[in-house]
Amino acid sequence: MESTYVDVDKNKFNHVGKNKDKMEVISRPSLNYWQDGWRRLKKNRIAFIGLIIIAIYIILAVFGPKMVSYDYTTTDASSTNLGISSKHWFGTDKLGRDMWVRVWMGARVSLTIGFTAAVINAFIGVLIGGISGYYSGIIDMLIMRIIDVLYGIPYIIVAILVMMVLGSGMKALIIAMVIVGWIGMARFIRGEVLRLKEQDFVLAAKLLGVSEFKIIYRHMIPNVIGLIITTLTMAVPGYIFSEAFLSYIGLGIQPPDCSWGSLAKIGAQTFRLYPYQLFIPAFFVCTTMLALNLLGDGLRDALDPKLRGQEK
Amino acid sequence: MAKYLLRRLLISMLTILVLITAVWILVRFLPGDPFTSDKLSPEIKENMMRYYGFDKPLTTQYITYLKNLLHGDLGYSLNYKNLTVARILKDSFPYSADLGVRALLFAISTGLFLGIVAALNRSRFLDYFCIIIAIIGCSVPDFIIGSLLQYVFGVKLKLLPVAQWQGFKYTILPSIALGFYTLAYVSRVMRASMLEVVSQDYIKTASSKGLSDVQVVFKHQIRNAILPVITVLGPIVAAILTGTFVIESIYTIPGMGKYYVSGVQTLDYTLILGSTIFYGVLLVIANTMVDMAYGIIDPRIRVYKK
Amino acid sequence: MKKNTVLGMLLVVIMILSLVGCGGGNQAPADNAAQEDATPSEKVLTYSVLTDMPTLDQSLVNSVASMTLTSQIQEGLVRLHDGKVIPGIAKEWEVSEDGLVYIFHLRDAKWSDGVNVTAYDFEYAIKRLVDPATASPYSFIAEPVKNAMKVNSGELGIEETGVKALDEKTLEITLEIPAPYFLGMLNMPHFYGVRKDLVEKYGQDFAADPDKNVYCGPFVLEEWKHEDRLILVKNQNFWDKDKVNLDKVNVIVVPDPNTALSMFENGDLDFVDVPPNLVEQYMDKAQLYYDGADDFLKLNMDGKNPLKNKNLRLAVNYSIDREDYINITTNGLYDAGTRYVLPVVAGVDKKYGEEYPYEAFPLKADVNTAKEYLDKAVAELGVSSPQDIKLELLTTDTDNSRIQAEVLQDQIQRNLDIIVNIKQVPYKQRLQMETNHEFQMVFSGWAPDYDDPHTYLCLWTTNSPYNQISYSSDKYDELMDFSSTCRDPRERMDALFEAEKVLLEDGAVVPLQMRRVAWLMDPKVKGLVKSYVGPREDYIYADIQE
Repeated sequence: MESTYVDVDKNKFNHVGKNKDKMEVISRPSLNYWQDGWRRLKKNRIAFIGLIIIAIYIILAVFGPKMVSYDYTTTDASSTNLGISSKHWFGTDKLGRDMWVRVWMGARVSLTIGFTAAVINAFIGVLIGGISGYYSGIIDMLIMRIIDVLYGIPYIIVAILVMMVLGSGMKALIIAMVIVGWIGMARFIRGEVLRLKEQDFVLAAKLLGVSEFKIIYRHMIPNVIGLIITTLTMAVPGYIFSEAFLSYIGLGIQPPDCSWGSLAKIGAQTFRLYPYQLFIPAFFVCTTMLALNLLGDGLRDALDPKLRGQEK
Repeated sequence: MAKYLLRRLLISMLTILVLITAVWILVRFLPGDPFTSDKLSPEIKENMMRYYGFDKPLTTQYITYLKNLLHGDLGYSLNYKNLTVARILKDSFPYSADLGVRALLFAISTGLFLGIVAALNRSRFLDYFCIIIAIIGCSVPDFIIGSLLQYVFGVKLKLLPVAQWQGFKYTILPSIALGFYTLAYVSRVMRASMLEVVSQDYIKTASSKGLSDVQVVFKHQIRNAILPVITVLGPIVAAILTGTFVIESIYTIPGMGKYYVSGVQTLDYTLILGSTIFYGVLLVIANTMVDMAYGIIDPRIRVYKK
Repeated sequence: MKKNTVLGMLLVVIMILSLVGCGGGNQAPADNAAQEDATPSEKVLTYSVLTDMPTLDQSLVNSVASMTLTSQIQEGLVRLHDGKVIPGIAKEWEVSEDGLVYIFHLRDAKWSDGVNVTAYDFEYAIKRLVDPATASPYSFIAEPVKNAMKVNSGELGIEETGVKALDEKTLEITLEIPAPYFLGMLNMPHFYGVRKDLVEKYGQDFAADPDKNVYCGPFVLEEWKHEDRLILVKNQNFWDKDKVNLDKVNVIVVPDPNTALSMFENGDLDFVDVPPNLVEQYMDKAQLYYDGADDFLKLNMDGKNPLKNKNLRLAVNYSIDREDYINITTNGLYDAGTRYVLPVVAGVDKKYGEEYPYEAFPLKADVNTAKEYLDKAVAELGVSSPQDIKLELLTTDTDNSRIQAEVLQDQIQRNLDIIVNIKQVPYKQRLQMETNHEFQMVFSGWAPDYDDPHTYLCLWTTNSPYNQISYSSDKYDELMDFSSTCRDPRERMDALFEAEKVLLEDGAVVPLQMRRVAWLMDPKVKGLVKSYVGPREDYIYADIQE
């Protein structure tokens, strides 16, 4: 057999030597976690669609009611339960009020409440759940038992009591939604933290002397952020309908003010005859959640450290 | 293990006691009283309050209640005047339990399935299909789904019965309606969790060791991904239990949800306390089982070891 | 490979789902099944109720459903059937000259366990009703009976109650006032006989189950699955049993009116009330009946309330367009309330509304008149413009209440330019706020206990415990007192009518609607009666004819 070696003349190569400076050069800018996340998010087109949808809804919520000549409280016996038409883009409701205006007035309430409640609850939940999971032991046990008690009290009792103490404004409504709303997230995060605590990278960080706060902030949270976002987006419709239920017992907004949740609740009474009165608000709640999900997925993909480098 | 259980038992009993006390006190702050109705005059109401012992000092009433409770006496309902609370709960719980278990099994099995399928077919048609179902399930509340299913399948298509609980086909629509939200929730969590696990090192290891995809998925991926789902199992069971009211109302099922809600509306103190205790005990049991299951599935976590 | 994974999991899921599928359902067998079991000649009536009866103890019943059903399984001294008082257990009776003493002669009748029905059962029942130890929520119904209220408050011993069994077949009742409507009141279950021996045997469990009570009415309660169904069968011991045609009655508890309608359309129910939201679709097929309820706004005249001003109250009354209100909120189902007393209650010879027609406020809003009153009110209240007047409308936390309130709010605000805020609260809280006079306008109503205008008008005397608006009119009190003691029916009815006029001319309430219900019935059912007072549905003489 012939040798497979190719004979290459040594003189064709120049010895460059080691360039110590160049070896240490950083080839791309050093990004911290959040900057990196934002960069990755921008590239995600599907998430962008979600963002656009939400933006459109917000714009319509602000300007929508002004686009027609009707107002949201005037009842009109001659125009009740009219379907979609060029005069009434979303039809009219049982009282003859224009639905387009009501849907967008309702959007203001639902979007605000939905997001605010979800974010506050997520914040509290992560905080308490994280503490409970990380420190475990007696603290964990105490917190979990308090959660058991809080959860066991029938919610409507809590809501009525909040209303008695705080009256019926928006502040009272948010407090009523927050007072037990964080429990789901807390339990969830606690479970995750318990699991992550045993992972090797945490052990490694501890051995390296990283402070506890930094461990939580820089190591644990990025790992749970995917699940936080998923849970958060799924909770928003729940809050929207919670608000409807609470306004009935006197908390939060009172009639004639409306929200997507209360519109859907009333629409459910008559959907056999006038399905649009139910489907229109329900549609917007669904699509808001869809948009949030797309955005949330994008956020999660962007912020998950393990998916770095895999963006499309 | 036995020591752990015993300790959990004691703590649980203490928790329930705190819960009972909290609810006992809180209901008395609610506006109104158990007897007032449109036609009841204030004098007659005073007579009734005296008869039921509500004019006695609060501590006396509380101690009486606890003493009775220790004997297993939950008292008579204030609204259903001839029925004991225990009997009301005993008669109605089997229906709720039946409905709840079916809904739970349906939701969890289908939810896990959808979540896994979605994760394995990421960004393809099946994934989007599952996502849409999940979104509808999470954003449409149970009363809408319940009414819609009943109308479409019961009234219009006449495929399934409209109401009541008298045989297998009666259980289909209510179970689906009750479980739909949980199905969506579980599928989302499972999908997210599967995607997160797939990037873990041990998956790469298993794969490169030469294990087939099926083995990787079943032996490693699913088992790890299922953990977050188990974490939320507690709240899920709770949500289903307390969510039976709406479905029972639409489908005319004589379950316990109604008493839980109507108790507060009619300020039926004994019924509120009785059903709270009942649900509280159930939840504690569910949580304990979840914690134990957690430890079993992931050997790295033993909750009871410090 | 992925396909195998998916297929594998699909198998697992199907296995679990079939687990879910096996068995299932432990409720009582379906009505259809029952009808299949029934012999072809058995006449079975099936209908539904919105809520189960909290209790069927005659002295404690507190809801329309309980009272209706009790009247079908029990029999009182008299019975109110189709608007007329007919003899029940009492075959005849006499009333004293002064209208205060009634003597009833009982016929031979048996309880379902074979024991005779005696006057002692009725004496015991009425005493039990007012006994404070029974804590009956309906004890007020015995008010016309001598000393009843004093016994109930503990002032007098129970022996002082004005009822006495003279012997097994004779009962004497003494009244406080010669109320002409008292005879009709005896149709209420609270005046039915109660078996003392059974109450003593079962204590608080009395009537909790069918076997813990006995029945002397047209039907016997055979089965009661709480929150599910009740089954009645013909009472073979009933004194008038030959006139009873039905063999069996199934009462199913269906909380959702839409579900009930679907069941009726499937043939599972023999009659059903149409849910108000769907009434338009069924107007041509449905019958209508008044259910007796009369809804109105109560206007609080306490203290510093702007509604203390009569002109403001009248302004509000004229600013409401009742026709629009009825069309929007009820699709024209309810009757607009242009007066206070339900016109179909009994007058002297004919209906009250026929003998005394009256339109206190117009059907359409009269904005000019409203503004006139408003201007006067603004001046008297010392505010600079109508916008300074803020009124709160209190109502309950239901979908319907919300819609009603929104319409009223919109009308009042637009026509008067004042500000109206809505406050929705849970039912019990609303009641408490009313008791404490913590409201300005509240959406309220009243259902009749007996067939006479007095049942609606008695609420507004100065001392009435139900007068939560601090309405006090000497003229009104005079007229009501006069009517309570007047022996001439025509004079008495005239006085009641005058009182109604005084009330509305003072604008004390804002009448809104008289409720009507649309209902559908299978044509094979005959002789079923619906009524605005007494039992809601009465089928003791009903029949099924294919």
